[in-house]
Amino acid sequence: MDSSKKIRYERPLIKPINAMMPGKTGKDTYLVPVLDVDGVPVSALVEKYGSPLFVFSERKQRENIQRAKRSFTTRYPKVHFAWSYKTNYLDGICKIFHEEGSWAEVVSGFEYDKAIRNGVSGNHIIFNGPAKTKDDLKKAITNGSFIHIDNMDELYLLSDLSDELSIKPKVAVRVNLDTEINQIWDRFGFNYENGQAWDVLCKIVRMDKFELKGLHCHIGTFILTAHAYAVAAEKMANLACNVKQKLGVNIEYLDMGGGFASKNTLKASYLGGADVCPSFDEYAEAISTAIYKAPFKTSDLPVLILETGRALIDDAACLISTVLSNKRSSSGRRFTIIDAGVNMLFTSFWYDHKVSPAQPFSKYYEDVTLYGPLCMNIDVIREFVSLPLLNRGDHLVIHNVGAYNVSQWMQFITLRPYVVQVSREGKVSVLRKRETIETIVNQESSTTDNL
Amino acid sequence: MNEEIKVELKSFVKSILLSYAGIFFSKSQWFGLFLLLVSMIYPVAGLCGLLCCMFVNALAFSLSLNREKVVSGMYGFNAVFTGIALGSFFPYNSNMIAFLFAVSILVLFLEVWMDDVFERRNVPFLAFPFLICLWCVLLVAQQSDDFTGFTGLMGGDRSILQLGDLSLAPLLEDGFWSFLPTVFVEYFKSFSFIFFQTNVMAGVCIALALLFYSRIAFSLSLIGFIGGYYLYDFIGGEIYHLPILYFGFNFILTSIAVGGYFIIPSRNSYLWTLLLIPVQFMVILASSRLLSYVYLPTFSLSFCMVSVLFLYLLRRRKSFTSPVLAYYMEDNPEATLYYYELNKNRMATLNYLKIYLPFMGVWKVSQGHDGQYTHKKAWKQAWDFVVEDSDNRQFSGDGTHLSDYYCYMKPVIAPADGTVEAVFDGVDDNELGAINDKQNWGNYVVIKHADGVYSALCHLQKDSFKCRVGQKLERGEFLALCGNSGHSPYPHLHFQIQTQPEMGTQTMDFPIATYLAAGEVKVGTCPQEGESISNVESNAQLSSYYQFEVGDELVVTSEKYGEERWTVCRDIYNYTYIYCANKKAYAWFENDGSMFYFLKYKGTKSCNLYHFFCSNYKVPFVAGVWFVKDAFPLVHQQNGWVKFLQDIVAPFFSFVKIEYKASLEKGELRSTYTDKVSGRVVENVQYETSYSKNRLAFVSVKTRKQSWKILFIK
Ligand SMILES: Cc1ncc(COP(=O)(O)O)c(C=O)c1O
Repeated sequence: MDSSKKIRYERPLIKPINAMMPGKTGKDTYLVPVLDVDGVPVSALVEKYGSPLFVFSERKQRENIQRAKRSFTTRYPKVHFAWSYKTNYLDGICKIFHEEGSWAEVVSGFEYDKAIRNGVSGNHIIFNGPAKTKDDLKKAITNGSFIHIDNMDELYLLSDLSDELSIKPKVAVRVNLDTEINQIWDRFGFNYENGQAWDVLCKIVRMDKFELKGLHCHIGTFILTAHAYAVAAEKMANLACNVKQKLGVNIEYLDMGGGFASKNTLKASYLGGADVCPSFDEYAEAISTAIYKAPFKTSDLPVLILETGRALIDDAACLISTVLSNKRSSSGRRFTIIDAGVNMLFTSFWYDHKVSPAQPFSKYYEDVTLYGPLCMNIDVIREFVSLPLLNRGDHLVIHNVGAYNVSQWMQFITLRPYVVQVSREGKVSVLRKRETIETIVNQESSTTDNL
Repeated sequence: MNEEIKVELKSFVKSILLSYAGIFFSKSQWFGLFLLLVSMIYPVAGLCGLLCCMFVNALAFSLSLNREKVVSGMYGFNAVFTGIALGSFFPYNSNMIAFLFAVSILVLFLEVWMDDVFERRNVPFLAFPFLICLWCVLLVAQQSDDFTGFTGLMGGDRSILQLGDLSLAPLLEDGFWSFLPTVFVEYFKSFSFIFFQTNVMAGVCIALALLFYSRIAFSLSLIGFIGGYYLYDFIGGEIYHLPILYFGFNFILTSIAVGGYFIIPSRNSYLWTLLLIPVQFMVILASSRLLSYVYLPTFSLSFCMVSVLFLYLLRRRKSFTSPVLAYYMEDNPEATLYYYELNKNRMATLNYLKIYLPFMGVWKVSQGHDGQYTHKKAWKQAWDFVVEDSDNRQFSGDGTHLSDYYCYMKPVIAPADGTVEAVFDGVDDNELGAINDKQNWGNYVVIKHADGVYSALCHLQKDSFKCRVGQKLERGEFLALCGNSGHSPYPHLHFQIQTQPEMGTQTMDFPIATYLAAGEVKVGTCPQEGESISNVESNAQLSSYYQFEVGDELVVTSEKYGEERWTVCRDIYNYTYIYCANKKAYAWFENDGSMFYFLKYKGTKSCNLYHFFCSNYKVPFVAGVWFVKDAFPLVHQQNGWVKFLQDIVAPFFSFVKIEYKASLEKGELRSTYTDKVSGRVVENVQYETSYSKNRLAFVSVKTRKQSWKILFIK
């Protein structure tokens, strides 16, 4: 034996043998070290961009959108995807989806401007949300974007703007409905079951100030049953047929919103996310079958729009992080503190993100709690995860972090890290630079204003 | 009133000129005028021809015969010949004039009757009426003292020479042309003999005019005559005591008629031109022998008989292979050829029923027509479709289950409106890799779209049918799910168009109306193996800009060509066109609801309409991002020399291409006009068509040298 090579010390661990039958969830997930992202070594990435680090995979994004499109377009003749900006509005990400033919779905003036900057033409932008300002609406009307009306006050404002600009805004009505699941997002739009939606549709047609183009619903997020979409689509399709029959207006599109589940595991979920989330095929089958049931003429079938967000991007990104320290709790539980906290991994509030070590490891596992670096008690990445023993400086890869994190993250205590992307050819590009102190202080000011 | 007379007079003049042009199947009034002048080299004969023609046409007008036909010179050209013949054989006196009118009436009688008889058989009556009248004239003349006799023609004493001392005179002496090989002297003389002249100079003029009118017609006349001449030589024609001059023009006229006018010029049409020479000889020798008993010449009998018989034979064919008959004659044979070549593909959507793809989304053609696996013999015109991902895999996971296949259980839809003719259900799906030979087609549905047009969709999934026999279908309606039944080792959809309702009958080569392949909008073509294709989504917005209704007036202006007024009109063939009154330009177009496209442009190229034609040559109303390619007819070649060469070789190959490419980007149509001579770009014009609310706004034009804008100011 080569005495010059030091053998790594591994702390002895006594673990009760627990040889029961595997449960319904199978045995512990078998962990493999994740050494690279689409062929680029984790160590090289960390060396270049530091830790923590968000890494997106272009290949995966394209694969996802192509799979989703294939599922829908082979079942329904007219389908458009609209990239939900709030999910992730980094230009480099949006551009991939736009290249793949997606329109843009935005919910604020800021997102609207971003879509325009990304070269999306006005008539391919869907403007959602309960908080559109007057200026936002003006912009959207003149650009011919589709405005989805959320409430009566917005309707009246739009009516005034229609007079002011002498343009008929292109609108759709956001409908909320009961889809036989627990989530009922009735705070947005007009209710289907109690007739609100019908009333507002009548009103819009009677006012004759709008081009009524579509109906919109977004039944919630992370919907784990395709049946909910079948219910929603059937109700929407019938509503559209009624509008045609009774109000004489042809509804050109049905926008079924987003909400498809991603491969993440929800907290308190018994089964792993990858095993329970319906495939695009199942969602597509449910929605298209439901629309076909309605009495549309084949040539008059409305366009189907989908605002899918998380299911397209979640598994296309990971967060590389580094172990800062290990310690034991009062009860003896192992704590591992890493350099990525809930300030940048917002989704760890509702997901049990899958975590893999980024280097080879021994066969000994221990249950640990993964904490972030913040001095706040809420900063927990995983409350309970079985991991091999990790030392300070080791790297971890946190999976399925593509959706909502780089848009919902906050600058709190630490600065936000680099976001990079690995292209299909294996080249790395920076999507967003690491923040520096200048990023923050440049926004600060001490001038006094006279009001 | 005055205006009306002017119009009448114009049509009358046109009918006269076209009567002359019609001798060489031309529609050019200039060519007609030229021939008229040439016929006047012997003034008496020429005037008689003109008089006869005028009389016949005037009579035809006043008797309300089909006006179009009269104006086209159809009734006049036999009259021209007859008049000239009369003038050539009789001295000019009042008797002869009276006789001329009588013969004219007979010509018209014969023409109208023959037109009817021949039209039923779809063949032209050519010069038959003239021939009969000529014989009448000669039979009458044989009894007259004034008659100079047919051989008297050779005297040539009645030429314009006698009228004055013209400096052209030497040219008119045949001796002047003795430097030419005899074959060419005879060739030119034969041209002039068409007008009962024997003057080389006249022949040269006619031949040059013919060359100017059509390179193909000219080359055919040369080939036909030279062929005839040498055959005559070879068989020792002199022994028949019949100088070639008396019948040589038959070869010229037959080759033009058969090689390029009634038939699309092609290698085969040229070949037939040669093959018909010995046949004509037979007819000439036999008929001249027979007619010699009554002292009559055979004259153009062989041209009329052989051409008509040959055309008749071609019309009786069961399938229309080469040589192809021309259904619509353009200005000259080369134009007919260019438009034919182009429209073979371009007009497919006009002539065929519109059949689309029987599925939704992007599918790949895994086996095309004449496929290597099963698409053979009577079933060769079929397609197999599968769904693939971007890694060219047909399944997800490891592909061990039928349901791993992307296409499995995907809806199959009606490719066009129709009625369900047959449904066959009950065959189980095969396991992967296995095939069912007993029920080859598996579960299938046959739809009737029209008489003799049935589509068949096979290998469908058991119990997935949503249609019944006899059900009326709308295009796109759900039929069944894609399965793996029958001769199908892995899930795929088999699609074919057949002539009969029974499954597995003879397939047809049928184009798909419109589809999208890798961003390109394909119109009326047949999907090829390996192509990934999908149906197109229509673009109502784009379509709304091109709703031209008959009677619409457009005002268009540009700095370069000034203001123009365009009117949308419809012609008697029910084709719509835009007419620019300022520049007398026409642009025929078609809007079939799914596409706007131009068919033809006629008029000056210094015109806004011309650039509108080039820039919006083909605009499919398709949503999304796409491009489309097409070609312009080669008549638009701007370089005269290139065009001359191209025309000559056109029946055999083409080295000129004028390409059109357009794409829709950000709601604007970007198009290019590229003229390529043997692969080298010689001209490139870029256009951008922009729209404002519900109409065309402007077209910006960029050539290599300059750029300008054409504004639409309704
Ligand atoms: C209106 C609307 N559309 C689309 C989305 C995207 O949803 P998801 O990311 O769940 O697909 C959201 C998210 O909340 C939304 O509110």
